[in-house]
Amino acid sequence: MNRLENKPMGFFGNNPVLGLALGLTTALAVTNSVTNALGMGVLTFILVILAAVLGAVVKMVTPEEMLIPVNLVITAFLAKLGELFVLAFASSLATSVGIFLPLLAVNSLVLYATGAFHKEGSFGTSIMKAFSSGAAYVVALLVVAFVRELLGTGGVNLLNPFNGAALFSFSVLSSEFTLGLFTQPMGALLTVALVAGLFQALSKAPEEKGGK
Amino acid sequence: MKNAKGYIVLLITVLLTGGTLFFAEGQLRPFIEEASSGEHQGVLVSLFDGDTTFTEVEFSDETGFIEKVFEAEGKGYAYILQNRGFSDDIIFGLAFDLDGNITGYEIVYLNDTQGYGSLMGEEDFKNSIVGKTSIDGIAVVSGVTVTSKAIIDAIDAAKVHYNEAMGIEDDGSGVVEEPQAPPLNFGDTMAIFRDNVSDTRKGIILDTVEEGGNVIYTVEAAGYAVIEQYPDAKRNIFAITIDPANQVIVGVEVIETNDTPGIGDKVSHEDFLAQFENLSYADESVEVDTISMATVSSVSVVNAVLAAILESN
Amino acid sequence: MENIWPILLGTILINNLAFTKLVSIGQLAHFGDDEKEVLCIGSSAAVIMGVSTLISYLVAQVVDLGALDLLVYMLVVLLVTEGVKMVVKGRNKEMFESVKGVLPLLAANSAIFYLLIDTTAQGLEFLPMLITAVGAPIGLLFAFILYGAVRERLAVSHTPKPFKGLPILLVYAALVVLALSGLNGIL
Repeated sequence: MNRLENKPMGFFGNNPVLGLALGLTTALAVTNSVTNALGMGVLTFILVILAAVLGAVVKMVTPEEMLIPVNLVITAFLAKLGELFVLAFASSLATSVGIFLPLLAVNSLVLYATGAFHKEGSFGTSIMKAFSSGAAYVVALLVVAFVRELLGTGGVNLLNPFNGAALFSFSVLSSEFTLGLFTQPMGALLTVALVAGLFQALSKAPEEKGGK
Repeated sequence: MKNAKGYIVLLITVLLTGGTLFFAEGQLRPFIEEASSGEHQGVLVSLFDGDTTFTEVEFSDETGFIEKVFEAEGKGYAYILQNRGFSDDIIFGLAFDLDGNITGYEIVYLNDTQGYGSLMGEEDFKNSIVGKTSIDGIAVVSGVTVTSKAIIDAIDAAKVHYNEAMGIEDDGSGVVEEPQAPPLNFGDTMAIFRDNVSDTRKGIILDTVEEGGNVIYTVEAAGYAVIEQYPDAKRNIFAITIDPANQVIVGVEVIETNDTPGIGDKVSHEDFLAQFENLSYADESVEVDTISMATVSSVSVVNAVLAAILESN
Repeated sequence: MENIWPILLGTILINNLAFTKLVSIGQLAHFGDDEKEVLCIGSSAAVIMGVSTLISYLVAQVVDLGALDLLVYMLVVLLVTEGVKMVVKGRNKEMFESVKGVLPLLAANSAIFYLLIDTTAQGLEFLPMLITAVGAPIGLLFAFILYGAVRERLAVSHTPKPFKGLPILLVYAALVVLALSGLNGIL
């Protein structure tokens, strides 16, 4: 991905999902509630770490032109494993995110973590990158989900992803002030846009040239 | 040759990952089964009271609306249905008994517009579904067409499956339903007797007829169209029947409304007019409810009633 | 036969995957630098989507994939992507050079995968599936072209600094979703 060159991944600036649009589909879909964002964020984080490990192993034996296909297979494999585990132990999460769970098979963040896009880099740095980008991803997801759920339903209702029991909840806005918009697709786009803008404003990264 | 090496690596990766998945699935299957049977437990239990064992049933459905089918032992069938509503998906549960009747309707997920699509989760809509048979039609709700039709289409898919499973033939003898109006949303209350009714808004008596002890006034009053000065706007016309001896409003009938279709004409709704039936005005603090979003039109009715009362004095 | 138009129109405009289910926005936001490239990438994605859907549907009818489903879908998509790559290379060498980095990534397009998983999971009959496999790719091509046009406009517009790049594009996408939601209920 030539667009990712010269853009070191960061937290506020060049946040993996808010700046570089990695794993955006998942982000838009699961941020309708903090519970979903937490569950899927942590899952993606785990997959990202595993992807880095497996990707590093694979890179040692795979010729360059096969890197993307082989790593895609690994991504699909990891996503399926993730899906099986979630279905088995956290099925309420599986029901609430639905098809976006198997869709992790094409999550570009996980693919990125396999190292399919940079040819060099030691094992150590890949793992470090995986950790930091995964963490940045989860935080971004939580921020967006918090805004969406708060403005969309008036409060936050955090459920235990494993059994659906309520962990804690609070309600700040009465229902006259909530905008159902935020839990719907259009609200997802707007909120991610706004949070992305916020993060970019908070970053110290140099101004992007042009519109790309 | 680089090419061959690449393909070999790919092949090995596929084999390894495939094998691992096979193994993992085998190990996890018992957990998954246990979890999935519990998944819809909440809805299933509220669809069928009492102790019921649910077994998942295989099904084929060409609409794609049926998510799951459960057989409730000795009691009937339960369906988990899904369709796209106005702005988001809708998921709900539907229950049939063993005699061809719909016995339960529960929303699992509904995220459509407050006051419109959300009505599909309310009692009124539920009552139009529960109690019907598997060959009856269900009325679409006018003004909320997309959401109500989405739910009804999904229910139809469930009916097809249920009728096939139970050997019921749809010979068209079921109830056919015309689109129904959504239940009325009442807004603020207002007093009938007010001092500050402006001349433009006052009711104007057009005709008076005495019948028995009652007097029927034909009154016209300015509604939304006239007040907002729409071109060619006309006043609304009502027939107000008063029993002056007992100081009771016998009833209000709408002869003509000329306000916004779908909004102002809600004043014709029987629930709104029912407020005026046999309403005593002996106590001048008497109040009625206006229709939310149709306040001005509602006020035109009240002003007409007030004019009739004043005339009868 | 009355089913054709609603499904076709639905998948292209009203239930357009990219606009209502928000899939593959990442790719839509970044791929393709000018009209021709966008058209090439968009139609490649469309073809990959259609052909992969058909193949996986048929495979799933014959074999119960179980835990291997995602793997198999990925392989099918990779195969078809490779095929499309060859076709592009053969027909237009120049275009191939500029898009060759992007084409393999179309295998990781969420919209394509979404359709694959959805059609096989839904248990659709053959004909509705066939029409979906034609309509949804057209919808995807439409999405690519739309986003391409948006990016061209944004490149010459003045955007406030925090919003440059992804954020403003997402705002634009939100407006597109809003506009298209006006078509809800036509069918």
